Amino acid sequence: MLREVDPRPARIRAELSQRKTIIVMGSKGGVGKTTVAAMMALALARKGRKPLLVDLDVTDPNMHIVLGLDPESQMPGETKGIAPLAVNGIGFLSIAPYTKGEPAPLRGDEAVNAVRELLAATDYTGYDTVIIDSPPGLGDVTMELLELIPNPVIIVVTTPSKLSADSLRRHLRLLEEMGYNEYIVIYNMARKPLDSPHAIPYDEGVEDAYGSMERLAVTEAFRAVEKIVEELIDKGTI
Amino acid sequence: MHEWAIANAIIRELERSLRSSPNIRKVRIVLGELQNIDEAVLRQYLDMMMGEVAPGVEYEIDHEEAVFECLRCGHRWTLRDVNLSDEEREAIHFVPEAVHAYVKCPKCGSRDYRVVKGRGVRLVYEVGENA
Repeated sequence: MLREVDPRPARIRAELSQRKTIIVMGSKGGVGKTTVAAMMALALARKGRKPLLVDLDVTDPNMHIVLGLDPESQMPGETKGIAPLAVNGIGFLSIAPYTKGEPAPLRGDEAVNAVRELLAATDYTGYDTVIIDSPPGLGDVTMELLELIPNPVIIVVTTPSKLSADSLRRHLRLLEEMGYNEYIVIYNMARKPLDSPHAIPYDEGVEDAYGSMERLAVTEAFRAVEKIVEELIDKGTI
Repeated sequence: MHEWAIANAIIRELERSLRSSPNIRKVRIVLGELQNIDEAVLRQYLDMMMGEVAPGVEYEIDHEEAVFECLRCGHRWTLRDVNLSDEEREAIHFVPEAVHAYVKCPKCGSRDYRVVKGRGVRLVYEVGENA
């Protein structure tokens, strides 16, 4: 009897089960998942943690812009796997150094393959927390991450807009149906005070700070993210 | 080496499958042409790791040609029909899906195509009757 198997999930689960893994997700594009993920990684690094930030928006990667890295010239090294790039105490992994800014359309299975490859080929040595930035929506990559990652900490980023609220409702319903009841919802770009401990104020300074973690670290938005990270550390969530 | 991570994935998977199917006697490792894995290096790592995790399990390595199919015009082609620089081959070695950044359909120029076969690494287990 013959049986075909993909070897990658076994390594991914073995590596990630030894670490806290945070999936930053959200149903809408443009709500600030990438920015929140980067700020969480920075906040964790400043607390002495060793975060690895992974951009799994595989057809539209742009975390490197937030971090100020140039995928044309900066390639990850090779050790026991891909050695992530390092910036401000954060390890960084993305498809961007391999696609060099070219469009690389991937249909369902291929997007899943790219995600598995990046997660399976990485050398995780020295990293205690993995923060994954995922593409918007409830598509293949989000479903794959929920399938692959043991006990993830789920952060759902949204904005206070009516359209986001509608997407959020569906997103949370699906998570709950799948048995994930302990997600954290972050309301990003809030223009007025919200009745949520996890609101990040709209901050014009963030756009100008992209490309410099030092500048991001002094924004009002970062201070709000840092407070959320402190709360999650205190509760033992991350 | 990146091949180390691939060997480690194979070993982890074998370890997992042996728990549920202890009768596995042989594993065929199929290497897709697109990923261009260094077979000698992979063998070296596998030979180092296999004895401890899967004593008595044999492995063999097969190669599979990469074939692409355009999802716009239906044209099929192989790597012999395209030119890739060493740097592009290296990028594809790490993440085979990066091929979409460098290769377009030779007939219609589309990047919307699929890899029909020969992408990366997969295992084929030969399991005993009672497994």
